[in-house]
Amino acid sequence: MSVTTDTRRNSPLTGFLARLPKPESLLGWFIAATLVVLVGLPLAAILLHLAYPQLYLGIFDLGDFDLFTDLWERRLWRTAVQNSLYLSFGTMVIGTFIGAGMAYLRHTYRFPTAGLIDFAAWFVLVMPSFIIAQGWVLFGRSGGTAHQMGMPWLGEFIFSLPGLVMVMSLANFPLAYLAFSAALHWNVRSLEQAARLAGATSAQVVRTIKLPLLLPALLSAAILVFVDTVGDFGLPAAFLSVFRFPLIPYVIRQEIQTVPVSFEGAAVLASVLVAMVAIAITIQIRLLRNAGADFLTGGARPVDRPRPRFWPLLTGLNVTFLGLAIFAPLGTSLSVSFLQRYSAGFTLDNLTLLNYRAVLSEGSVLLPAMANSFGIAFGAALIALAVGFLAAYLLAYSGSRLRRFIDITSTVTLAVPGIVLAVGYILWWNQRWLADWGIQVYNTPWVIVLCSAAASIPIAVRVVLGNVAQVPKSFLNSAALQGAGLWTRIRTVLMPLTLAGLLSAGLAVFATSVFDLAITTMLQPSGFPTIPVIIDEHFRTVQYGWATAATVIVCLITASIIVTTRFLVKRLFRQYFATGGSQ
Amino acid sequence: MKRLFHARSTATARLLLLAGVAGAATAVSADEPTPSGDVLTVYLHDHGDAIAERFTEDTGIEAQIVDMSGGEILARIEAERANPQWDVVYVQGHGSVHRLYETGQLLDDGWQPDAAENYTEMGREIYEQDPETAWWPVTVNAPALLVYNPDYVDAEDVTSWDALHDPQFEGRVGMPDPAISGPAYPYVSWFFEDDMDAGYEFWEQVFDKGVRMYRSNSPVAEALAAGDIWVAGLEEPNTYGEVEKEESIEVVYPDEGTPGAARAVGISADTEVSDDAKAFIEWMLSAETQQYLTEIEHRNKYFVPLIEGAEPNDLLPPNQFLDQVTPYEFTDYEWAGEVEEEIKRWFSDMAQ
Repeated sequence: MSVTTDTRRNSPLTGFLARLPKPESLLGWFIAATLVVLVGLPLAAILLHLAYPQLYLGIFDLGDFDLFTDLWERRLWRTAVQNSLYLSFGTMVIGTFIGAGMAYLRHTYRFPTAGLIDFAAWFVLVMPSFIIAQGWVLFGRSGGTAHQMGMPWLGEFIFSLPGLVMVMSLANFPLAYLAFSAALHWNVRSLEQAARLAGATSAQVVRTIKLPLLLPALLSAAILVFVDTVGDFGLPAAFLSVFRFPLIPYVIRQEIQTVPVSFEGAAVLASVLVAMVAIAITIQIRLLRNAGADFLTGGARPVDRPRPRFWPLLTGLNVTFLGLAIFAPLGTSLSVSFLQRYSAGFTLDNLTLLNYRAVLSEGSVLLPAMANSFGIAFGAALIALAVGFLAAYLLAYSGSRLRRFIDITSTVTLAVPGIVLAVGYILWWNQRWLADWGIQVYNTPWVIVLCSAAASIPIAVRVVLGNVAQVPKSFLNSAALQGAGLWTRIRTVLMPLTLAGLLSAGLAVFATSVFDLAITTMLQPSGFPTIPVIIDEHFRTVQYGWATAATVIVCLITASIIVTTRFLVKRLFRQYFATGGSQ
Repeated sequence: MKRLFHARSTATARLLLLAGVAGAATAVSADEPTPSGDVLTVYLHDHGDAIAERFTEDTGIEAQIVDMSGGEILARIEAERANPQWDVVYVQGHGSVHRLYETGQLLDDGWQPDAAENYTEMGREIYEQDPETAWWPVTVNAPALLVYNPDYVDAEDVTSWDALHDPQFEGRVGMPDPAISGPAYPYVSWFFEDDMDAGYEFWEQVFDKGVRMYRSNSPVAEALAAGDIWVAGLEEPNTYGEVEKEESIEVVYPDEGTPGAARAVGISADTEVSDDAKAFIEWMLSAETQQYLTEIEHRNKYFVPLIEGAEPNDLLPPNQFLDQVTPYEFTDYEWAGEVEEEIKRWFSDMAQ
């Protein structure tokens, strides 16, 4: 206790200050209130609309809940729920098989091109699903790449349930790959050797050591794939232009954005979707409780991998896989961006730069859309990062009464797909009484910024928490003993030590927000073009050259922003990265 | 290395700049939830930028155009019903616009544009059915022409709309989705007008033969030209666009007729800039604007003027009906508005 504190004990000001809530408590209330506004109220609005279907018109007539029976009586809804289940389960099985299989090969054997799998996994992981799906549509449709390569059967296969499962598996395999890679990273060899020394057979080693260690990771990876597939909006949006395959996320949009408008229909389907994801995540949390695997921070480190005799086979398999996962969708998009006429195919006299010229010309809608979307992504990243960081601080160190609430709210949001959150935002923010109070959030860019931030907060909290947890509380206590207040402790101790995590989380939120089709398509203000919506619109109206050229340009700019920011931050704060984090 | 660093710095600077630009836009919108007297918000489908620039040039009134598909515009209007964000709507399907009028969403203060005096005979045919209503036809076209690809289909096999469920074209017939595409509703509802049961029966047969439903007319046109589908009902401007590109597409005018619908314009009952909105209507219905809309470089340059003094452009392909007073069979718009939800819901459930 310092002398300074003692001398102030008796002053009236000190007495007043002492009665004020502690900064940590204030911070707890602030974060809780922010989460209520960003997540709680929109989700509560969905529940309210289930009870009062005409609430948006100011009519408080209780709904009769008959709409839930439409889940099996209405053909569209029934088909959408069935399709979503088929696709998600199929993708869960095949995607996990591919991801875990590739991870096993990658971390067990040494063969040429093995390193490319890591690159492919991260590349596909950060690519928005509607861009990958558009590539597959262009690949598979008649006159597309598959036809030109003499494989029209492959094109026809893609537009079927098994084909969609394959497309989704190739788009979501990175989740399984990275989760399983993290599990393989454990050095189980010493345990195996110990078991063998104790007289265990190799079968016993597999049954009692390898499997129990790997099984939770495998199941957890499978659930990640399921969750990502069932809530995905990009794939149905892109495939709908050629192949009608109703899935819950797109039907939710249809209920709200086509006549007849049905908010209560969207609310029913949204609750079904949330229930599916919530069940999956509950299972995953139980599985992970004792497993300790964290795919976001666990970088695989292969050790002593032999080069087997059949390495050419492995290389061939790998190259085929990479060709399918990356070249088929993205190579197709890239090549189409240079075609004058899509239907004329990839011939020399059909090559052109006109699409790029059109996309970048003065008056092109892409330029204002880029300004808008990058601005939105920047704003969402800042908000998600600030909330995520402060929430992580409270979760790791504070004894705040609101800790549990913050923990639950930021976890529950994981189970809410972007399309559902966007529905909640429309219902909550587009109300006359709010407008009469002068609060106009709906139909302004703020609604997308806030919704994107809300959707990203769980990711930000998890990534940052991983880093924050590595900073011992004693560091902060030492600073407090020196007289450092809460903000000083956060600013001078915690932030520098977790800078690497903050940077990763910020850039991840930024990249996903730029391309988030589900949220922007639902909430885009009038006269405010955004990148995902205009690319989707050009794709929908068969302007493939324009859509693919715009995709290539935006991806390159986004990648360069990420690389540049990472480079600059690391350069400017070199000392923090040397000691700081898990990068 | 220095050069590389410079390039990266520029990218970062651009990011900051972009964020700043978006921030500025945010502030303006947030402060001005509804048009403040100088910006007119128009929800329309197609030829948006051409209209906005010329309108501002001619009248000095700033216009913000929201260009979405017809179905999306109507849905957005419905979704915003508690707090409308639009001043003027201009969309294909006068039945749908009439429904907005019937549900009290259009400004109905007795005002009629002076330009209504100058409707052509075709324009008057729609307008004079009920000259008191608060919406006005701007142009007409066929929400669907019966078309086929002659590379795959013989002309004598496509003579009536029954070709849509002809077993020999099973799996090779396409159509736009009435829930999403604006013109698709006036098209499909046309078959229900005389007898609802007959309409259901007709489309059930089409669905039984595996009709392919697309999000909008553009992919239907593309699929037809590529040979994925052989027969379709395709919106008139899209059809003419494909004909102009010399794709393999032929048009048939069956004896049963060809559905017709007007693109209609109306003003929001909640607008705070009703004078600007009325100026917009007068402007859209002036002979100069109508002529201008036939000349712009746009898919909808196949614009059929409804005001005396404006002439269709030469791009309209030979069309035996254009010489007649009424080339299309217009739906009873009051009826079309009343059954819109029923028919659209049925289609969305059938199309699985």
